[in-house]
Amino acid sequence: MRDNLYSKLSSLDRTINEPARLSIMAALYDLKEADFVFLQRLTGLTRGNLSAHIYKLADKGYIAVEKRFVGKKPVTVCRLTPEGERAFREYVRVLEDLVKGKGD
Amino acid sequence: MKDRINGIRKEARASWWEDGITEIVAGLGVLVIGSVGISGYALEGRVPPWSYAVFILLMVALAFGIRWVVLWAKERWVWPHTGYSVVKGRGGKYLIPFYLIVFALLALAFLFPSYTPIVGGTVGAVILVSLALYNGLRRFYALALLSFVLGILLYSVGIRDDRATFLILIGVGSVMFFLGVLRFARFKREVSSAHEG
Repeated sequence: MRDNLYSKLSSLDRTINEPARLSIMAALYDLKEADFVFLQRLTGLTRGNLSAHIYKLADKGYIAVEKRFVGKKPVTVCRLTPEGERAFREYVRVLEDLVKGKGD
Repeated sequence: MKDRINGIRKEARASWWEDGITEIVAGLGVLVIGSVGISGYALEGRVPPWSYAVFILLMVALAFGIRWVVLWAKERWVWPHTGYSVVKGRGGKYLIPFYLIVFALLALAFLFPSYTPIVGGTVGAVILVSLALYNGLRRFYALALLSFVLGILLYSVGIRDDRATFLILIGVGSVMFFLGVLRFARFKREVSSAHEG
């Protein structure tokens, strides 16, 4: 049981298991899409910090980043990919199991 | 950690409502639906069949059209200041249960016409409480209470036919619209003071 809990703990996705990236993933999970300005406001990260974490998540294929116009304004829009959604759900599930002490 | 995740998710969902536009559009829509029904009664002395048809048509139009109108308004007045974000349209999966509730309500009102106001007020309250819980919107509890109290009040003063449903819609719709306008005014004030600051 204890070994299982340890193996669960080590199975937590390391890309998501970082406070800033977890905040970005959690914010995007309920949004269809959002731009940098909005994510910066919601997560409280600096622009450079946010940008670095976004591109790390994008490299992993969890987030799709796209530059386009909303109205007349150019924006950098981010959204979770289906793979990102799956990874986030799995991360939360493992976390819940750990909190409940389930090591099955 | 779990609390932090849930907190951010709730904040992301609530951001959709922070400027008051969704409440203005939804409140106005509900107000118009109620007013059409009650105008039919005022014209003919009973709730005429055409007002049911208009009622159902407007309900469908509101359910599907609200998002377009809100997006249009946000693009002009909100996103330039707050940044762009669109909440996921999870409403789609609730549409079938929503219409089942509406039709169950119509069936209940048909079978037990004298309980129409209580059933209408309660169903309205349940929908509003669900919205409040899911989006973390405390002000919607007050609207839910209003819907329930209006139902009881109309029943106790003897308005027990379909007029009661329309009056509940008018009551809840106008308060929602008013709250939305107040919220939008506050949002505009905050935005302009942020620009000055």
